[in-house]
Amino acid sequence: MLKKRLIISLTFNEGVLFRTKMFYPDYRYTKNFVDLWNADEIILIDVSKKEKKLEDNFLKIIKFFIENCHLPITVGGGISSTEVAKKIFDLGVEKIIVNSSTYENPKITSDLVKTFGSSSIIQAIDFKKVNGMEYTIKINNGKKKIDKDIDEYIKFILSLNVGEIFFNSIDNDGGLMGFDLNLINKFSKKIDVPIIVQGGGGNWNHFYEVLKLKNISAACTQNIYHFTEASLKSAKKFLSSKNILVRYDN
Amino acid sequence: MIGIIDTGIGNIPSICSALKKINHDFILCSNKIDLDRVGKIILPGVGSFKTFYDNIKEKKIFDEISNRVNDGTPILGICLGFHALFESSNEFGIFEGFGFIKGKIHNIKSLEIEERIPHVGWNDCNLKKNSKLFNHIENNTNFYFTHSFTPIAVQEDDVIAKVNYGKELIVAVQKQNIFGVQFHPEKSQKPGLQLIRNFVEM
Repeated sequence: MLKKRLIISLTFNEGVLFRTKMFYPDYRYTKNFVDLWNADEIILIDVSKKEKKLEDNFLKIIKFFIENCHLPITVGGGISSTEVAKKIFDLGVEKIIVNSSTYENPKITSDLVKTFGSSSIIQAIDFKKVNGMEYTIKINNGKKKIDKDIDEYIKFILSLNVGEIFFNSIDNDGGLMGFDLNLINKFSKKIDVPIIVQGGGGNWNHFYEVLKLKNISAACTQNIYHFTEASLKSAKKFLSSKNILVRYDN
Repeated sequence: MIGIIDTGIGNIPSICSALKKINHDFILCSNKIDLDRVGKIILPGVGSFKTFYDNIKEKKIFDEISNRVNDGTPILGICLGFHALFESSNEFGIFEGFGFIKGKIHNIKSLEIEERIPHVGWNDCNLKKNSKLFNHIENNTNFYFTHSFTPIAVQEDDVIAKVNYGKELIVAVQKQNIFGVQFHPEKSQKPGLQLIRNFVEM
């Protein structure tokens, strides 16, 4: 049976590891701390400003993970053409994440699907709460609200045959207060590809709460304390004890 | 010496780092001269079958690979490289594979399962028969998958492992010197490295 995935997501600004909440560098943890054995997948996001995206410093990071992890690596942040995508895939990357470019130029995304295959392309969606219980979708790093109904936009994304959908909650990002279950329940039902969720995972019970949902395939953690030493292993042990199917070796 | 077919796309550096990790020499092969230097072939693949196929055809090594494998050179196909071992694929049109192994590549959707497609993540392989490829790997070990297409109409004799995903999917085959795996051993940590070691040390 397919296992639910625990994914480590790391953000980099010009090759320096950053936490996303405050966008400040945190040198207490480095890529060497990553608990390689128990992560199921690693996502590397380039959050550098536009003109500095996907430059050598970040490419070196990708290479480091490819050479040392023997795990699936996904890369996102500023990949907006098949040429750039090819450069990333040629490093040995398994999947890429696209976001705003799908809204601005959907042909890029459908070209990526045709060239690299559905299962190599993940569409990220950044959700933002409005008026308490409603949501909008933002693009360009949360700066711009899209001018489309959410259900319609999701339907449109699925018509491009992307392989997975990545739900990100802007409100819960970095807050460690739990995933936005209301958001996830509201929009996951109509999606028939695997869904990865991010934003708010603070303790392992939060991960249990989302991974027990049938519609959710994977949950991401960005919390540095989640990937030091044996903490992912203890998470897997916990999830396993709660009957969540995870890849867990004693 | 191991030859990795330079398909011009995809997970080649990951396979190189796996071979480095297990201390085995390799070269990238994009023509007959390269192929003549190697004793075993790894056929990798990420991407769509069409891109993969166009690249291999363009490099004109399709027939060379075919000849070497028919002469008994061991080959390990990974993911799309696994798909290419079969007769044909209908991903974005109909493409001929090498036809080393009987079977066709179809979208998993054609199996009418209720699971999500693509099949992404770690799934445990049920070994169906003994193969040197799975030496020192326990039954039901997890490997990493990411694919929307799967072989059908395969002869049971050629199947060495399946996974459960709504229905049983064929994920590893062997026919004499021809080996193929749907999952990514180069991305599957220790058991993946063990599988690659099994192939290169055969």
